[in-house]
Amino acid sequence: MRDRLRVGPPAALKELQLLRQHSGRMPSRQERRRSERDAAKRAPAQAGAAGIGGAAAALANVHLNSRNPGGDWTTQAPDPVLLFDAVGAEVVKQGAGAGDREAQFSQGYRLLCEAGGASTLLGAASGPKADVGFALRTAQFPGRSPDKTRRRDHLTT
Amino acid sequence: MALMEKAAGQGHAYAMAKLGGIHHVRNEHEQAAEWFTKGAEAGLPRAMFALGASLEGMEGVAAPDYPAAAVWYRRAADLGDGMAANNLSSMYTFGRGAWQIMPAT
Repeated sequence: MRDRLRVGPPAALKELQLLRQHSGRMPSRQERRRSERDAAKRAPAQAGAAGIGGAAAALANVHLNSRNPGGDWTTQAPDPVLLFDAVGAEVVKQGAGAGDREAQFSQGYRLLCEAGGASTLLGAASGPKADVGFALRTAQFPGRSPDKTRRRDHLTT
Repeated sequence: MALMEKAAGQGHAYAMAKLGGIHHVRNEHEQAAEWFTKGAEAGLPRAMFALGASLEGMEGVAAPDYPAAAVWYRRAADLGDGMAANNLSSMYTFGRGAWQIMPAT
């Protein structure tokens, strides 16, 4: 399980984490954008060599290996939109027709959005991080209200 | 939806979670829980979190199962899911089921 975790972060994020570790500072906006661009450039190259699954693996910054030859969730693109950006709509459509699961995921999501309109999928089911529709419950912690936080800060400074 | 289900059938964990989310938005909670379970069993932390939230009885699910919810929150939190950690801490705070997975001290 640790091996899975080790390869988890997307390419851009991983590079930024390394930058942060080495320089001891938060990456600038330019550095973040450059990392994202580099990850997006790598994806089509891998798509040519290893199919759409390879592109998804490039986006997730992982490589299919002996441990997960078929790939698991760590080798899959979390956001269906990513693959369209990386390899283009036509390649995704062809891949979906050929039975590639990454392409089916992306193309299927796109068709759902087109069929159902934004109201069906926006919010709870859209976006890589908000795909489950459950909110955090910070309001249950009364100590976190802005007023009390401010008062506590005042007492400690 | 058929393409998404095909992708999920081939083991695409994010497709499973996404399908669960779509069913959840449509108030089809049983099907949502089914897909979240599949995603969680495939190892996806976000699906584990969603399954935990379903089991906890959020968003209209009738019978909460707090101990099971806490277990899935814990698994997701161990894999780095911050939202699961947040909700698990809430369960600890209010004593809902989390006692079952508290480490021995």
